[in-house]
Amino acid sequence: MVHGPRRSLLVAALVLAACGWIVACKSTPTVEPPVSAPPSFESTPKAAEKVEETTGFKEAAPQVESVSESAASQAEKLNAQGVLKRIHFDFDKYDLRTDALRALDDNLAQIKQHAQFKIRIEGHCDERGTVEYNLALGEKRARAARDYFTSKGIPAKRLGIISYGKERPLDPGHNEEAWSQNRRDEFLFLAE
Amino acid sequence: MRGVATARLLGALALGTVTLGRPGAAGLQEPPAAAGTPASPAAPSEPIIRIVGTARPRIPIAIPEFPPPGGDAHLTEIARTIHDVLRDDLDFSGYFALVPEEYYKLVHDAGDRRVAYKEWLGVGAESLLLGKVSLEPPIVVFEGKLYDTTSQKMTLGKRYRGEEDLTRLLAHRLSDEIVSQSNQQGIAQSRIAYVSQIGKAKEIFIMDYDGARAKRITANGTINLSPAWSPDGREIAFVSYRGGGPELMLMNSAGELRRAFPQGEELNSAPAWSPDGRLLAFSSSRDGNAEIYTLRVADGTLTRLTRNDAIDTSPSWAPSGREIAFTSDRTGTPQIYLMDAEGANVRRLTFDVSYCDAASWSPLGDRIAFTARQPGGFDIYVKNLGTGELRQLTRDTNINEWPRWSPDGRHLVFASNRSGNFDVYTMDADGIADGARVHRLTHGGNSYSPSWSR
Repeated sequence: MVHGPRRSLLVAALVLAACGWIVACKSTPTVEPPVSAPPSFESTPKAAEKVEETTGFKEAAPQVESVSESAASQAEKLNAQGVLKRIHFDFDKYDLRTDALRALDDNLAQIKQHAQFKIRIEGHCDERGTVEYNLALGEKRARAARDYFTSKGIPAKRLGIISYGKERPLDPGHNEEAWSQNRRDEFLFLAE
Repeated sequence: MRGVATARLLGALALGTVTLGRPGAAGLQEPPAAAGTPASPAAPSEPIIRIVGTARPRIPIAIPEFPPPGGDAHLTEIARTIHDVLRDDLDFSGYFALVPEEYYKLVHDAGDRRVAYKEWLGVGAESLLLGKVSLEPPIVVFEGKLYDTTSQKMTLGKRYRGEEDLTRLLAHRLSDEIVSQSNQQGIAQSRIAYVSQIGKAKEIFIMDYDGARAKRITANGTINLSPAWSPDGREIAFVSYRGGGPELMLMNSAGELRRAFPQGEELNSAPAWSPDGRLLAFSSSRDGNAEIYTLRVADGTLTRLTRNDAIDTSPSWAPSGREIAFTSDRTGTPQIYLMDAEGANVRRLTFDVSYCDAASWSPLGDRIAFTARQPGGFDIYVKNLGTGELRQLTRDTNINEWPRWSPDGRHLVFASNRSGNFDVYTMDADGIADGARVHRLTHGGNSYSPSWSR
């Protein structure tokens, strides 16, 4: 048992110790709020914020999309033989050069000769410039060829166009030689 | 305050207790703010903490690691991830400057229950972020506390819980909370959609704004282009050749895909959401030539905005929704134009470079970023609509293109082939430091055409 003077001594010692602690603590007097203190801190698990993926965008599973064109073998053969010639364009241009007009006239004769097929005209660009501008430019190039054919009497409904912009380069290089090859129209026979 | 903190730091170093090298931590490379930082009496000719001289000085912050008690390796790894993500987020935000970690050892841990404010302030940390991570499998519990060492107060305390695979999001969440505390918009939870090449195909991907957690969202094996996040982040518009020709598609966050409207063989491309998310501006040749249209997404109503024989494409909305920037080659080469959202009042914006494309209107409305052709490549420029100032943000012989703004208007994401392949990068929109503050987000393969969620 502690009693009498000894007890008061102990109390004094405790008080002194506490003061000492307080003095020592004076450099950091702010008592941080306990973890459970509202409002800025959610203490209980159910009050804690739940992070979840709100906009997940499902992972896509590769899907097989069939693109079979079985009746097209004859058209494919003509296409593989390169019966229809490519034409080329200047940078950022879609007007038909004189060498292109010569090739288009040759193509015109083939188109007339193979009247059973539709024609697909693909417009392409070189890699310079943005995707979107080049899509529009490629379409201008395809339209230029289609307009030429229709002006020569080919019905527009036989002539489909598609722009690939800069997405399907012929030559993967990054120089003027590759670019001049890639700025082009391609022509394909299509079975009905 | 800052002067005091710097003085203390310098004082501590001047006493010679520890000799430290000049800090080289990312985010501190900028020259000191010319004005506003009172010179400390102890300051040497070059200050130790350098603050980026943008609109407001960065707040020096210390973020010591969050080591879990017990030293469990798995938990330690999670804690390190949260720590590093938070550190990178706050650094990237531009509102904070990281106090070099080598200074941390000057601070003596005052024990579990007390924060050594003065010591942290003494090494220059006006803010201090402490964290604690625990695991309630499969839930990660993260507790973060932000302290102001000047007022010696905890200014933010948050506890987050999330599945373990969302660990990085816990950190992003707190980072945005910290930034929003100073009435700024946090962007750490934003995401970036982009195109990546897979063999001959191009597919749409999404990733976190820092390049983590990349995920492929299309797999049709054809060409998919020009992703554009809806303002609410719940839909992505893009162009797909999955049906043969280029069509405008919409994918919602559940992965459901639909055509934006009935389309034929014409070119439909370059989707851009209006700020209210009700309209999609895009380019279409449905009337015979590439023109800008708007589509009212709810009912498919189309409105034609441009009428001329030239190419009109790549629309970008003003944040007011009342104007649209776009590319047109009506004068012979592509240039950026502005028009009212109904198509009237067309005027040309760019005159300085002969080939300008891919406009992106800042979410603050004050600037337009675009790509311009240079001898040998393409560079990114920003035009200030108020002052007319034109600023070149990239300067190399590579292709730097397709700038798109971060939701807070302080950063740009863009595509560049500076590494050899095309990759997606972010940079500060003030462009003072091409290089140090450029972050590469994708690696390997070819990635293009980023779109930053709002």
